[in-house]
Amino acid sequence: MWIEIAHFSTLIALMLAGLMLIAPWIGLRWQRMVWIRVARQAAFMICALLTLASAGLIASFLKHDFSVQYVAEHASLKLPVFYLATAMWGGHEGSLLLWAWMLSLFVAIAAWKHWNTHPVSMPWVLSINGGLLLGFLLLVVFLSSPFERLLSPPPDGRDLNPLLQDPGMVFHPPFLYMGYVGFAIPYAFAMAALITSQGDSEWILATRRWTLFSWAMLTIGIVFGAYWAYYELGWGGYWAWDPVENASFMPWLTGLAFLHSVMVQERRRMFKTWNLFLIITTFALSLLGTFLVRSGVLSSVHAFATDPGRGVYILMFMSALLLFSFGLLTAKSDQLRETPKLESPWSKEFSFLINNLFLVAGACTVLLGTLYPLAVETLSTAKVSVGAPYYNKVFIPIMLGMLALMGLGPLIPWQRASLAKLRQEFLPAGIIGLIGMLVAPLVGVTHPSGAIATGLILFVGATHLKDLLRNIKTRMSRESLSAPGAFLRLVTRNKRRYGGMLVHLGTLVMVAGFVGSGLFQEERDLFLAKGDSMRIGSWSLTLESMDKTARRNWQADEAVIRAERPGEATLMLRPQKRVYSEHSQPTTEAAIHSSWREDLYVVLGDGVKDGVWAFRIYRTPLVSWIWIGSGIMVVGVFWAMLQGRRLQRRAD
Amino acid sequence: MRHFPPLLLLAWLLAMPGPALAELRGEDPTEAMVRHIAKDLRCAVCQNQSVYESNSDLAKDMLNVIRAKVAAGEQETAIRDYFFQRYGDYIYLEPTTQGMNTLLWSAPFIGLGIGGLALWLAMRQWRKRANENVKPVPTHAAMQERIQKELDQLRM
Repeated sequence: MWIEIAHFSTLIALMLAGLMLIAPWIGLRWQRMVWIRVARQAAFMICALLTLASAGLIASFLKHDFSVQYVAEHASLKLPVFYLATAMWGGHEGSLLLWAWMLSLFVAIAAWKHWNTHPVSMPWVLSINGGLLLGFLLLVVFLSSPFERLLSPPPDGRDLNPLLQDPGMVFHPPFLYMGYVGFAIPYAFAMAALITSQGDSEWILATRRWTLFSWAMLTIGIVFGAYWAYYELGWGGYWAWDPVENASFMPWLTGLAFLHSVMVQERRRMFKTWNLFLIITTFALSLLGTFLVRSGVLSSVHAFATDPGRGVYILMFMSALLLFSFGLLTAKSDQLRETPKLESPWSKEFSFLINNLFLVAGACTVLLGTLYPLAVETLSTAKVSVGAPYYNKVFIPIMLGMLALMGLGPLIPWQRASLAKLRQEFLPAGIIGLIGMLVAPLVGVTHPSGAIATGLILFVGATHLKDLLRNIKTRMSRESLSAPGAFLRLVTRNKRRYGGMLVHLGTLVMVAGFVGSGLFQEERDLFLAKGDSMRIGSWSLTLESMDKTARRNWQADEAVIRAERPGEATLMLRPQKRVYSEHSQPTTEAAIHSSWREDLYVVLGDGVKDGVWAFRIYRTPLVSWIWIGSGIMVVGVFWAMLQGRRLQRRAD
Repeated sequence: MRHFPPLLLLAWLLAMPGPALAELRGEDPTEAMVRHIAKDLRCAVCQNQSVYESNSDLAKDMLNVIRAKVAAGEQETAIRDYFFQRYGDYIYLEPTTQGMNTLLWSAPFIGLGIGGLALWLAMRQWRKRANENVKPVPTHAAMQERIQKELDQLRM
């Protein structure tokens, strides 16, 4: 019953999406405003209908309706309610519906918020989003439907993949999708600006919050995924350069490039075409991320062949989007032709361009590494792997260049800087960084990229601090304020700038986490029997006992390990090896003791013989800095989002 | 306890459960080498995991093969070759630097170089343009008059 409601409302939404695509054209062609209002109402209706459809699918899960194929494949009677309610995005079909639902929600918000402020763009924004919704809903309804009934329903479902029965995995997809989907709005505004030939900065100002929001959501989604991989997969790491991860990382990089380069357009009215190119690319990569991950194309060519219909449709949809977007950009390039003038390479404008160069080169590297195995496999019979070692050697140097640029950010002026001025600005910070780089190997950071990163962290930190202190001093003397008062005034008056600085600070904290966890991780593989002890770092670990434990849909072997360290309270760690009732493959539940200095991470392996068990133990310094840094980053983005439009007016 | 005869002490110790018998376990000395090799070999049935990190049965078997070979004193290159013979290039997580792969390794840096060069050349142009003296365009007399008139109106 619920599933039929969901199915029918999706069908109606599909038809309304078609209407939304066409109605604005009719309205503009025959000058009938009513048709544009029709498209707007369609946007609201689609949002309501897809909300109902998603609710219907979730209800089918909650009611254990195993006559629905999708429910039977991704849930079971024993599955806890929390995972039942969120199993909707546990598989390909449901997550495409989630995507479409989120898109409809964002489109409705855009149609509501920007209706009065952007009357010229609005018909096109509606039409383009109608096309996107139509494309997605066609896929949901005809090629990967979560609404299929089974003729003979099984008594119990096949259960959700145990790896997904975890809070991290529950929140990871919605945030990631919010990021992906969010870029659809700036994309549509950009296309509307191109179509109506008002390709100036209006669309950038209109969508500034959308891009910031989407980028923040993408960040949260990626970090949730990394955190989940860290504590659920039991391999002591958090990022494997897996094609799935890479797919979400690419739009993040190009989106970041966009966030920087739009500032040049706002301030100097330059690089319009480049910004359009970046937003199109970012959205296209978001789509690529959704499609390729969920259809399994990236993992193997063969998965593609198992469902040719879906694969071909996805390819066609992507090609249509790319042809339309870049075709339009080329067609309109004459009107966009501009004659940029830059006074000096020693300027903020030019530093943003180099920033873009590094970020786009980074994104291309990830794309190359991700698609290369696919290309080799298609073009020849050979198979190659491109794994983490490749990215560590190629991508990290590029990002170190990026980090160095970050240090220039706050201190380099717009337009032009004299060399003497630059020397005065950067010499102290440069010396601090250089000293850090030289001292680092002496205190154990012997790996070249570790030493360089350490120096750069200090350099960037110093330039940011210098900028902050100087601005506080100026305010103190100009407005006769106390230091904290001046600081508060500063960060609340210019939220965008200081939000950005906070993002930079978060990045530094994260980089420290990457250096610590990437270069100084210690591992031990050994066998322990009851009563045995081992040492790692300053910790001494003793296996106290081996227990058995069980919950509703799993049972587990559990080791009880006492961890001690001089001058600290004793800890009990309980790593598990779980077997879920509907699945044969056991999963590991690592026991993690996290602190700001280091994480102690214990994984229970196989039982070898009477009472002897294999253990893998990691000591990973600074890994929690990655989570903290990303938190700071997200707070920074939201702070920047609070900035109204006052700043841009003043800049004009 | 000092008065206990040694034998009794031993018996007492043996009877005590758990920690008193504790043995400090260290890692097998060859394990670091095993890890070093296993981290760069792909688990052949996994999506993107090394033999060391994967939980699959095949990965465990492969890990045991590596353990046995390291224990038998085989060199790293010999062990890597052994897997290469069976699986080909696919087994190395770090792609080799031969043949087509040279493109894979060099393309990012070539791209960065070309991009940098293009930016530099463009910069020279933009700079030239910015530094050119902007010459005032001579305005037509009638136009001048009209501008003046409108300005006057504005001032009212």
